[in-house]
Amino acid sequence: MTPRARAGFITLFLLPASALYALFVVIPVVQAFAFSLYRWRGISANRTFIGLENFQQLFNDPLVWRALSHNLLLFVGTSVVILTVSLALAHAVGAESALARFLRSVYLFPQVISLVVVAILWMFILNPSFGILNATLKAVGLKEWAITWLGNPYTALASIGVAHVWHALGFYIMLFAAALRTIPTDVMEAATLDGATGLVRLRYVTLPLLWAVLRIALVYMAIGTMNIFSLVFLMTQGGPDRATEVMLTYLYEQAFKHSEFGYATALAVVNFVLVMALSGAILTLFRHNPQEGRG
Amino acid sequence: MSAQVTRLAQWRQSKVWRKRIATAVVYVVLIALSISFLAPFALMVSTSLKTEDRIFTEHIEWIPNPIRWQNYTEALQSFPFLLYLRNTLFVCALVVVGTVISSALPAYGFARLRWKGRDVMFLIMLATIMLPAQVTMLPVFVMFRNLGWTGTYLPLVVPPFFGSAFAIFLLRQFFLTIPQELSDAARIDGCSEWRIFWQIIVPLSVPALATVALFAFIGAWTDFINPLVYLTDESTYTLAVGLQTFVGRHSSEWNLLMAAATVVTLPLMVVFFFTQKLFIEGITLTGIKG
Repeated sequence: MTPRARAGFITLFLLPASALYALFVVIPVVQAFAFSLYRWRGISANRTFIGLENFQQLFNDPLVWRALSHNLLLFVGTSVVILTVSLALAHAVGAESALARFLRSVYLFPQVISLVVVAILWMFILNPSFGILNATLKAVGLKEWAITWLGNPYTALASIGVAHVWHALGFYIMLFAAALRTIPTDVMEAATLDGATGLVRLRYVTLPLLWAVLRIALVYMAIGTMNIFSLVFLMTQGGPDRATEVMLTYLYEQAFKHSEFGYATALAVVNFVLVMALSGAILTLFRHNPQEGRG
Repeated sequence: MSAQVTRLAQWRQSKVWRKRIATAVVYVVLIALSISFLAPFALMVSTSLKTEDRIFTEHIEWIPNPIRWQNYTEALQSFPFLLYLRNTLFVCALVVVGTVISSALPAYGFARLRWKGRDVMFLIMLATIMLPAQVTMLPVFVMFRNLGWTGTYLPLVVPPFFGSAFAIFLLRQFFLTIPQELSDAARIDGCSEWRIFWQIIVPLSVPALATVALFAFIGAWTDFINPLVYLTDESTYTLAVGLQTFVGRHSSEWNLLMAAATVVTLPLMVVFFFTQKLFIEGITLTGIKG
């Protein structure tokens, strides 16, 4: 193929996709930054340039801070649970037996069902008067523990966190199980022969070898919880009394209930910058594998 | 001497036993965990078959008595399931076709061709995976509104025809694993790039293409936010938003609601059952080799 034909071919392969990609991704991003500088009620065509006023308003909006704190709480809470449980389970179901294979797909299953169904299931389980959780609590004599889980400002966010963990866990189990399989068995055997078993082996052999995957997993978790929307929207709509309001439910409210497109886009931009900052912080913080480069 | 030997044998024996017991404990814990993992599904199915007065009992009834199959017919009647199923399948089909075709070509360009600026372009594209759809949601919404596309399926099915960054990434990772010698040999034989793509790379990449198709299908089937934002007419709803409206109207009839949820989940259960290997490969491909 002549260089010229080759160039033409490459253009043919990439140009349509890149051009249209630009249309749906790059231009909207630029626009997002532009929109956030306007006061713009979504329905009308006229918008007023107000510079950084939206951002100023946003920093003085206590609801934004509250929503953000809920996102961060969800991130910290669910990632600790997901990391511990999924690492342990990945270890346990890594074997090549029929039972292990079956268990792997059991954990993965919630991943493929609709979040609407996930929300329905957990609303049913957590139903205050008759849900299975409260029924169980009453049955074992913990009557005073049976509360309105989703209606109580102190437990609503945690309840959503539980549903989120149930939904997301399988993905991380698979991720870690696959990574564990890449560790050569002789490394593990050598470590075991040297007396490294159980937690010691986990700490000094397994975790360092999984370091790269752990970092990526943490970034995924950060992205997942900073952008959580459907579960909250479906289970509590941000309530009770905004106790579960997160960045994106607040954005949705501003955009589609109050038609505050300018303000909502400013929220989106801030959320995006925060996600990037958080991911960057995770990657930097965990850059150095603690077991590497130690003489 | 012989005492020592027996003690050694005993010690070995006990070690074997300890290991067996440990494995047994691990499996008991695992099975207990997976039962609690599956409990919500069991509860969904069993509630979907209960009579209204048996839904909430002091002790949970896992096996409904009496079984009320009419819940399903009633749920399907109070909610245009077949219509929503048809809408969902229509959207899913277009999304799958669009994603596979329009992602395979750029992925090939990124993985198998050498050109100036390729790596920079690839990085830019990767960065957009990190970009939450919510950032672009409003500008894209405004664009579709200006085009007069709101209330139609176009905002749901047209963007996949312009490639999905995630699918391009996944396919590129897979294309990279195909030996370069195959393409080189074909080039020497005078094969055009287009034919290399169609007759060598595509046939070798069926599993990866199927994984991309599967992810696109599940994504479109379970997508909630896009139909919520763009579909205005109830007769155009997909199952996810349709189910949500059903929840709003029958919030106290848990047996009907669970019947509807079961019916919406069932097709995915079947798809998942037959494709879990692809699913797992997809996760592996994006997590490890990335």
